Amino acid sequence: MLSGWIEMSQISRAQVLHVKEMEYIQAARTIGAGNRHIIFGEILPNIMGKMITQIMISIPAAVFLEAFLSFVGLGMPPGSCSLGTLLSEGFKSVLLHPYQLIPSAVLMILLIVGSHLVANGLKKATE
Amino acid sequence: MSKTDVSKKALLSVNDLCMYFDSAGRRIKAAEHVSFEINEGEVFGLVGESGSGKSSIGKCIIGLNRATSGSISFHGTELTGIKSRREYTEKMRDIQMIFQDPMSSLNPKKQVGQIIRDALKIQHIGKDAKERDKMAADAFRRVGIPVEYADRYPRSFSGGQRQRIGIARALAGKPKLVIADECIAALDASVQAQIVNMINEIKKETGTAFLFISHDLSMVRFLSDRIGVLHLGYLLETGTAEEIFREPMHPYTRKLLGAIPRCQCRILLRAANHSVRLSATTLR
Amino acid sequence: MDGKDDSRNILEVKDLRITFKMTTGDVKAIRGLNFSLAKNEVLALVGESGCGKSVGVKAIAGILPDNAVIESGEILYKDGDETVDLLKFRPSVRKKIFAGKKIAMIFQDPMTSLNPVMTIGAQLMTAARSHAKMSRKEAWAKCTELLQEVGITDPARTMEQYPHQLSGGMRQRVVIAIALSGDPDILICDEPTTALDVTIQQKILDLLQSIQRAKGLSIIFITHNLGVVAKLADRVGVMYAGKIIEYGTVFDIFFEPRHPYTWGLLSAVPEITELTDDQNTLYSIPGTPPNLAKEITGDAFAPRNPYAMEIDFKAEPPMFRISNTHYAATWLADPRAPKTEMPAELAERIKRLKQEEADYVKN
Repeated sequence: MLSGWIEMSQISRAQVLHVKEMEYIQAARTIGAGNRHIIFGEILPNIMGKMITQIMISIPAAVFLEAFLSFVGLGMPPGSCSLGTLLSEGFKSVLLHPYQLIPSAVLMILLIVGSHLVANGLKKATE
Repeated sequence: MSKTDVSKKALLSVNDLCMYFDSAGRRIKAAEHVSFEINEGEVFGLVGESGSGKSSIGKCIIGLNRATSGSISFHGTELTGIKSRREYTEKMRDIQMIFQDPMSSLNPKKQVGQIIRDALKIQHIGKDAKERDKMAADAFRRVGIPVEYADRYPRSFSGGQRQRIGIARALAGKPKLVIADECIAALDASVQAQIVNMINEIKKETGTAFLFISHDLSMVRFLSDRIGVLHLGYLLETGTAEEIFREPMHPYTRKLLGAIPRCQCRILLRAANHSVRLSATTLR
Repeated sequence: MDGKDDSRNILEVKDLRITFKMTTGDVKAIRGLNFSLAKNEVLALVGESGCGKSVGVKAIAGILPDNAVIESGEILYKDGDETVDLLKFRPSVRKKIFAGKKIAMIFQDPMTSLNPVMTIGAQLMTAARSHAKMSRKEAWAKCTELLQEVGITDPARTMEQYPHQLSGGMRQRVVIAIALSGDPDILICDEPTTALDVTIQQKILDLLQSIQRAKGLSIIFITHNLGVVAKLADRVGVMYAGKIIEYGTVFDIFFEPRHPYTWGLLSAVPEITELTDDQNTLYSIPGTPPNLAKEITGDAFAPRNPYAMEIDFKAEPPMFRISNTHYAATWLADPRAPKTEMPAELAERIKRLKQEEADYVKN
């Protein structure tokens, strides 16, 4: 949580730097648009597409990270209901009751793949 | 093409303009003691190769670059050294700019009508939204874009059409001076001809002055009343279009003119001779 | 296609048709391309964006994108004594035998043609050694020689430099050197001087001309600048909407053009030598090139053609033979068509050029 914003800010910074060089920004400057208008009226609408896609991609990353940490015991306490803990519990009894692993695994896969598909779709739509 | 009318008043006066900036640790002198004038209703062609500083000077006039020294005065008002944005917007209302790249000069997320209306709104031109609508529609008509297309996005238009929209944006507020920074460079030959014809018509109908910055000597000669030749930041020669092309005085100007590939007879005859030699050698 | 002796031709493109498969539908980029290139000759392909000139030569060089489908046609290349159809080879085989070696290509932007993280020497040597087996020392010597051939005065120093340290003109010279490293028969130039300044352009064109004459290279030169065509070309093909619509020697095209599109192109360029004009408008062809994703009936140029007749909208004109060297695909050249003259301003301009030449020869 403390360092997660860095990736997002690097991407948005790169996007802004790219858009900043476009001539329509120069055009806005020549007619005297202020910084506020340029940032919110011109630059932001053009980077929103990439930002939203980036958010969508970071969801499965977060899901996976949490699941991984809980699985190895570093995340949520064992009693709580998180994908990782469920997987962890299920793994403990994999030799006796393998089916316990399946629902949480399937759910996790669906979440991650689904988010990626939505992100891809959004990326195509905004380009 | 009209020749200079000496009784015309100077609209824009650039005096001893110097523009230096630092890049990668080196001092780059984009403009060195440049002085010229643009009269009302005339097209002044600023011609030079890349690195000559012509774009930098254009951007200096419009305020995108800061002049290191010298003065730029428009209609008697001094443009250098303006600090406040409000003062800038007010004084610059009658100077507009057309950009080079039709693909990036329009905000892709805005409808083209919106782009023009916003431009007018930011400069506080037009009393209310209704008047701005009308001005935008007039601008579209003048550049030959059907007004019904105003709610489309830039991606639906071709390069030439986008450039027309850029020109509409510049003309909507009825400015006195338009700076055209290589505005036809990215277009096909026949589209260039269309745009250049349009600029000529606009100049005649509205008396708008143009600063036509380009490296394309033929187009500059065709469009301009007067021409200035730039090289490495120095303005080497100014004169009427005919003077420059008929009797260039500076050696660099002569070199520039001589380098233009032309459809001249002797070149063709040379080529024809070469072909004749070719067919002669294959007779077996 | 030519009335000439066909055995002089080193390359013949016959009825080439190429379609691009896009998600929005098929785009017929090349709709029947025919031309030939003789040995020791410069052929210029002129046309505006979208006419297919780049696509056509990429088909010859073998670098079409994956979604390009070659529907039909042949590209016959005379390799020594035998003639082969380039299209019959598998892409990998084609790359090995032809790419860079016999048919080399140079592009418009020298900055993106060169690898920014490799020195010039590294790039040149890689090219040279990929064409022929040679030791590093031999390769170095050959590369230095190549750089000298393209007019670089200090080859040893340039070999150590990176592309961003060189000017645009020098970079383009390096690109030409790389193209020549395989000793090709054919050099394809896709607008190589469009991005350069006028004075540098002149030098590069002079360089290409001298190399062509010295080595007897055959060059296909793509440009939209008619002045460059006049300077460099022996023969010209004017392209529109995926086909050549007029084809002939430089003399034919500039002094006796027959297709209305060629008239339009010639008129759209302001002539520097016209000092007596009171001309206020350039003749510009109205409208825009056709959308190649749609089926085209009749002449593709008809909607923009002020000289169009009814038949132009119904049937596509074939290539009419105007002379031994000159062909035009317009119904105006049909013997049954009404006699149509080129626009008056263009006729005037041509007359003036001929007069200028007569005066020049006298003095």
